[in-house]
Amino acid sequence: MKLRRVDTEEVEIDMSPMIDMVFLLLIFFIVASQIVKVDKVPIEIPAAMYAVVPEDETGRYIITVNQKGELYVGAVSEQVTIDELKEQVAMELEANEKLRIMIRADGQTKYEENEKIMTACAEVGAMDMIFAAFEE
Amino acid sequence: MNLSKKNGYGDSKVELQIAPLIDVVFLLLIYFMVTAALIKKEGDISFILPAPSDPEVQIDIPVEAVIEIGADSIVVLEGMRFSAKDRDLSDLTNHILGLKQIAVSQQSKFFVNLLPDGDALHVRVVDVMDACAAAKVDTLTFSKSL
Repeated sequence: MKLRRVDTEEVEIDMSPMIDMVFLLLIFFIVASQIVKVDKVPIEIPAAMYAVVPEDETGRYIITVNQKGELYVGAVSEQVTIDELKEQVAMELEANEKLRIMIRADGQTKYEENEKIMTACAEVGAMDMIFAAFEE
Repeated sequence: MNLSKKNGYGDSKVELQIAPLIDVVFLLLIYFMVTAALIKKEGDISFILPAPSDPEVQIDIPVEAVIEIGADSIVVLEGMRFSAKDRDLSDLTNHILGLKQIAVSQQSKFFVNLLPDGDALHVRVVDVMDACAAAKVDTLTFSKSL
C-alpha cells in the first residue's frame, strides 16, 4: 500500500493585508477626529435642537460665564471683571467692526449675569451676539 | 574559511516580531474610534441687540411677541403659561407661528421680545430661544430683566 506523504509545510496566515487595513483605519480616525480642547473653566453648555454648528468661526470674541457669574475671556481663559470686559470688547471692536460676541454660559447661570455682559457689550457698540449651545 | 557556519550564526532566522506592533496599533485605533464619537460640536443661537434708532424713521408698527421667563422657569406668552417641565415648548412655537401669520397678514414686521427674570436660568432662556428658532423667528431682542 502506498501511503501519501504527509505535507510538512507550515500553514501561515498572511498578516500584511490586515495590518495595512488597520493602519488605514488608524490614519482615518486620527485625521477625522479633532483635538479635544480641555476647558479651563468647567461649564455645562445647554443643548438646543435648532442650534447651528457654524462653518465660519472667525471674528468672534468668546466670553465664558460659569454658574457663579465669573467671566473668562480669550484663548487662555483669563478672568476679568465686567469693566475690564467692557474695555477689552471696545478694543476688539476697534480692530474689527464686525465683531461677534459669543457668550458661553453654563445652563445654571442666572440671566442677570448674562444681562450684565449684554449691557456692557451694547454700551460699547457690540450688538451681534451668540449664545453657545450644543446640538440636541 | 566559513566563519558563519563555525560560529553557528548562519542557521538562525532573523524575524521581526510584529505582534506587539499590532497590539499597539489596535489600541490606538480603538482610542481614536471611541474619542471621535464623543466629541460634541458647539452650535450657535445668534441674536442682535436692539440699537437706538431715529423715531421719525420708524413708520411701521411691528407685531411684537413678548415672552416672559420667570425665576421658576415658567414661560408666559400673552397669558399662556408653559410649565418648567415643558422643555421642547412646542405649544409656544405654534403660538409664535400664529402671531407671525398675523404679522404677515398685516404686512408688518415681526419680532420676539424676551423678558427674563434676573434669576431665570440660562438653560430656560436657551429653551425659549430654541422654540423661537423652531418658529423661524429672525428677530429676537432682550428687554431689561424683570
